[in-house]
Amino acid sequence: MNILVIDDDASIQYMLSEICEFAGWNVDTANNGKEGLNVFAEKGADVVLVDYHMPEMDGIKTVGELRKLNADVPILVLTVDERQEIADRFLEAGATDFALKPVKAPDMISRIKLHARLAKLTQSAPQQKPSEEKDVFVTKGISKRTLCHVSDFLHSNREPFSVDTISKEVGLAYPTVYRYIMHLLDEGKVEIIVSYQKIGRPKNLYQWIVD
Amino acid sequence: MIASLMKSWTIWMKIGVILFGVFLLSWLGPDEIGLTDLLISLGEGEETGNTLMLAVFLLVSLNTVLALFHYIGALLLGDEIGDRLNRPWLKIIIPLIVIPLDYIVINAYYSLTYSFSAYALLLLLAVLLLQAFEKDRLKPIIKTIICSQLIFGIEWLNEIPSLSKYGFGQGSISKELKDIAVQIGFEQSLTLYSLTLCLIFVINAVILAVYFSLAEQKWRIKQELHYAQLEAMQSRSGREALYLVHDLKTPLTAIEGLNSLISLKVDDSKIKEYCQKISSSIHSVSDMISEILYDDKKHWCRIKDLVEYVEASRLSGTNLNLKVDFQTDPEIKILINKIRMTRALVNLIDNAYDAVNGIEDGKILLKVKTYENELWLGVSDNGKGISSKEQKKIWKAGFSTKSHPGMGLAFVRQVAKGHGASLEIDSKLGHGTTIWIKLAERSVSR
Repeated sequence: MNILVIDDDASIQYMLSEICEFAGWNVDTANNGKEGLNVFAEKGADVVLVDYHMPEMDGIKTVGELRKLNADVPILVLTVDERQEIADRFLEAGATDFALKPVKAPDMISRIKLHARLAKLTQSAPQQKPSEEKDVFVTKGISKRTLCHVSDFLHSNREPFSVDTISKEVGLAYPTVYRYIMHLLDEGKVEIIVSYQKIGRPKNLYQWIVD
Repeated sequence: MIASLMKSWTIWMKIGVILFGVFLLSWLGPDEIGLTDLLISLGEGEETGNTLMLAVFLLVSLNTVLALFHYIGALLLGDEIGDRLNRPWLKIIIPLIVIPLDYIVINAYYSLTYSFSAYALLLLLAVLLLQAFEKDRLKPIIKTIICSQLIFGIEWLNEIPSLSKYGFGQGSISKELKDIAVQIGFEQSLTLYSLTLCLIFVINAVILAVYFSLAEQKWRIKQELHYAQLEAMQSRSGREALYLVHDLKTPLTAIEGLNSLISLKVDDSKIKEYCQKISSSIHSVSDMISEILYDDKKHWCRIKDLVEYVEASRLSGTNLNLKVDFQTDPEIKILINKIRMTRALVNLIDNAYDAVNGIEDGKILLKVKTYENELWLGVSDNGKGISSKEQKKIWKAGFSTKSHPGMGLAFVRQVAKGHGASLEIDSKLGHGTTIWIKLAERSVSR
C-alpha cells in the first residue's frame, strides 16, 4: 500500500514515515500542498495524510485540489485544531476523516487500515448511482462511503449512542462522526435522546429511527 | 428595589434639599434681607428709582435662592430614581410632580403668596428641556450652576409690569414693586433692566449647557477610545500567546508518534512502561494546551487538585504566604477549565497581595465553600477595602488603582462567564475584600 504524507514539519514527516514503514507500507512525502499534488498526480496513493497549517497551500485547499484529481482516495487530515467549524470546512472540501494531534502509532495504523478497507469495499462494489453520490458529496461534504459506515453501525445496533461512543466504535474521528450524525438527523434517519446523567450536563444520544 | 431606594442616603439627601428649599423661607424671608424695609421706604415715597431697582434685584435674588433648592433637588432626585429603577421617563415625571407640589406646600404654609403661575411653568419647561438636551451627562454641580443661571434669568420676567396680565409676577411683593414702578414712571426702565438681565442669564445658561455637554461628550469619546485600545491590546497579546501555544502541539505530535512507535517495536517491559509514562505526560501537556486554546474545554477536577495547582502557580519564587480555608470536602469535583480558572484565581490573589502590601498583619485567604449546591471559590484579604463606588467600575477593562493597565479583573470576569459562574464582591472599607467566584450547581459533583 502507498501512503502520501503532506506536512511541512520535518519531524512529523519523519514520524509518520517511520510509523507507515513499521506497518509495512510505502511512503512518499511532500513539504506542502503544491508539492503533494504533484506527487499524487505522478505516483498516486492509496491513502493521503494532510496537515492543516502549511505554507504555500493550506490543508483545506490541498484537500479540495486532491478531490478534483481523485474522488475516492481516502484523505485523512492531521490537525491540532479541535473546533468543529474547522472540521466542517475540511469535510466540505472533501476530507474523509481526522486524526487529532498528538496521535499514537497504533491509532494511526488502524485508522489508515480502516479507510483503505472502506475505500476497497466501494471500489469492488458495483457503482449504482455514481452521479447522485457525487452530488451529495459535492454539495454537503458528505461521502456516501463514510455515511454508510456510520449508518450501518447505528442501523445494526438500534440503541442510542453518544457521538463519543460511535466515534470509538466505527473508528472515525469525533468531528467526522458529529458531522455525519447531524446530516442523518437532517435526513430524519436518527433521533436525539437526551440522557440525564448523575454528574454534569445532560448528554445527547443518537438512535436510528426504526423504519 | 423600593426598599433599597429607601435605604440610600443619597436619595434622602436630595429629599432633604427639597425640604430645605421649602422651609428656607422661614429663615430667609423678605424681612431678613432688608427687603421689607426698602418696601416701606418706597411706600412712604421717600426714595426714588435707585431704591426700586435695589428692591427688585433683592427680590429676584431671593426668589432664585428659594427656587434653586427645590428645583435642583427635584431634578437630581428624578435623575437618581430614574437611573436606579432604569426608567428614564421618571427623570421628567418626578420633577413635574415634585415642583408644583413644592409651591402648594409653600402657599399653604406661608401667608405671603408665592405664585406658581405662567412663569413657573415656563421655568419648569426650561429645566426639563435642559434635562432632555444634555441627556444627564452633566455632573450635579454643573447642573446646579446652569440651573441657577436659568432660574435667575427667568425670574426677571416676573418684574416686567407689562407681563403681569399673562400671569407673571403674581406674588404680593412683585405686584407691589411693579405698581410703584408704574407710579413713579419707572415702568420702561424696569422692563428694559429686567429683560436685559433675563436674556443675559438665559443665553449664558444655554451656552454653558451646550459647552459642558460637548466637553463631557468629548471626554467620553476619549475614554471609550482608551478602552477600545486596551481591549485591542489585550486581544492581540492573547492571540500571540495562542499561536505560540498552538505551535507547541507540533513537536508534541512528533514525540508522541515516535514514543508510541518505540513501544510497538520493543519487547522490553520496562521500556514499554517508560513509553506509557511518557505518553501520559504528553497527554497531560496536550490537555493543558487545549484548555489554554479553548475556553470551553473543561474537565472534572478535584477541588484539592485545583488548589494545589493554584498554589504551585502562584507561590514559586515568592516568600508570601497563602492560606487555604476549606469549608467543604476537598474531594468534591468541579467541571472547569483548570488552566483558565487557575489564572483567574492567581489574578485575584495577586490583587489581594497588592491590597495588603505594607500592612503589618496582612492575610490572604483562599476560601472554598459550598452554599446550597453551588461551589464558592473566594479570595479574601484584610486590606483597605474597596468603596461601593469603585466596586461598580473594577470589572471594566482599563480600571486600575495601580500604574499598569487593569486587565486582571476583566479576565477574571471573562473566565467566570465561560464557566457560567457569577462573581460577587464582599468588601468593607478598612476591613478587607473578598471576591467570590460562584460555580453553579451543574458544574459541581459530590
